[in-house]
Amino acid sequence: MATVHADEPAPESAERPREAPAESAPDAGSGFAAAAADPDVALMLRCQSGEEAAFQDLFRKFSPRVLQFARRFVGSEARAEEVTQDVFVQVFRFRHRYRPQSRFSTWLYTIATNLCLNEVRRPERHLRVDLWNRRDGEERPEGPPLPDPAAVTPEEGAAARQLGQRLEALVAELPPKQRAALLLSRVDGLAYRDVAEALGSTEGAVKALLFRATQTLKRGLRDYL
Amino acid sequence: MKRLGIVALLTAVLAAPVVRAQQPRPWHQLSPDEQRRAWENYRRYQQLPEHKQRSLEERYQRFQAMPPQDRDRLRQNYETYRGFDPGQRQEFGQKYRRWKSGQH
Amino acid sequence: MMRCRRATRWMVTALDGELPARRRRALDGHVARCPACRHEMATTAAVLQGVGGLATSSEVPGRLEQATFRRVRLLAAAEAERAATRAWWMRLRLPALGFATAVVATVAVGLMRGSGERPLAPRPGDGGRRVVAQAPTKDKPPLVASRERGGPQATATVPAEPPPELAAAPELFVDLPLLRNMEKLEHFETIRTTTLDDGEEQSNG
Repeated sequence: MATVHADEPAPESAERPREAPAESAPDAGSGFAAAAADPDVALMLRCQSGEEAAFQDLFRKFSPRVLQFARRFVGSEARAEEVTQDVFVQVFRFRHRYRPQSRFSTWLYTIATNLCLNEVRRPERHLRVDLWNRRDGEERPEGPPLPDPAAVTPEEGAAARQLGQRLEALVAELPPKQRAALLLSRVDGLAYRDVAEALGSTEGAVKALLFRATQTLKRGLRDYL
Repeated sequence: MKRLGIVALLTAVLAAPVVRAQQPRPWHQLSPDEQRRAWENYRRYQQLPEHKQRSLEERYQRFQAMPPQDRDRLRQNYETYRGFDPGQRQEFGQKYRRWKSGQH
Repeated sequence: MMRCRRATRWMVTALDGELPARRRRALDGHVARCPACRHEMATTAAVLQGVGGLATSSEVPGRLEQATFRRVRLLAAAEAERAATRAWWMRLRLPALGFATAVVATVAVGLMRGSGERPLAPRPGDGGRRVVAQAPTKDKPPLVASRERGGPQATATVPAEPPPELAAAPELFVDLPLLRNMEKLEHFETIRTTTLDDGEEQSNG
């Protein structure tokens, strides 16, 4: 993340690429039309018909994202994997409740968010090991560091990685619903309407959550900005 | 008590063909004693943490994949183990820990 | 004229592309005139860009995939079993079932009326001896006799309709104690022939 100068206009890349809302699909009232527009919907409809391969395809496509999402809510790698498994077991168990009018990822993240927020409320949660305060010698929980494409020098790359770690730690400290709203919106690219659906909330509440989360992050990153 | 026994017997006699006809599931191929044990163990299983439940499911898969003679051997060993008196069990536990420490 | 406080509250929504066009124009106009808000907007954009750069996915270990698929297969098997059972009920000749139930109920009522006693009430003078075999009640499926045994080792009644998890893999639960001790049993003879220190063996005396 480059240093920002006060007089520069907001970089256009700050506008996030995001998924189009489900209603933009043509004739979204029809399951077949929705399936034609969204391959994930098609997979889910096949899963509802009992096709095991369709469920496996959905798992392979979305489990990496769900696992990363879960890791930001739970206290251990093992528990993140368990939560991920629980998410997809629920996807299967309640597959007949899915309606193709809404995007599959929204429905999936609704389940994931509920399970992650439940996880945060567990009493044992308070004994969590902080995933984001890595001990020396421990493998980075988020995997090998990605090179910063914008870094010109090794020093800039290292600074960017340090900033990323700081950001992860700050995100982990956000209140759960703020954290969920921020991750769903900015990391997973859900539209506000879909974030609201995933949280069981309103768009107005989502905006408020995102505003508060961003203000907190700005305070925490003051030294870097 | 005797009259209730007659009721139970009549129930079993009249209902048996219906029960057999309606119950093709493997659960009902278990003997009553096996069903009782399975039910009690299921209730204990539900109290276990999820990671232990999964560990047991994985062991079950491995057990099912064994050749029949290996499964019989394990069952026989288990029956032998169950027949141990407390002293024998304690000694076996110590030997197990000794053996286990030698595995690492 | 927009105030800075409102402009600040709209910045995140604007940067997420969710601010209505009219409000976005108002915000852009304010930011162009206000250096503090221009700085705030850039800072907010940088933070959101940083969040957007966080890892979106993690590598999924093979064991997670296999464990998930296994659980789902168990679920599917349990659902299929329940569906097959419902199908059996539908095909069954209900009059025959109804006749059997009626006969049993008639006999039971006749016997109870004949003795004048209630099935679960202790008889006076019995010193509180419990009657442990239960007659079918309207709350239980009429074709299943209770397996409850009396005495200090009385166990809970085994359900006629086991939960799906139990029905899907009953042998798992029959053999649960064996599975819990699987490692010991796999290496049983080796462990039995393991020698302990003299002190440990003598303590078992």
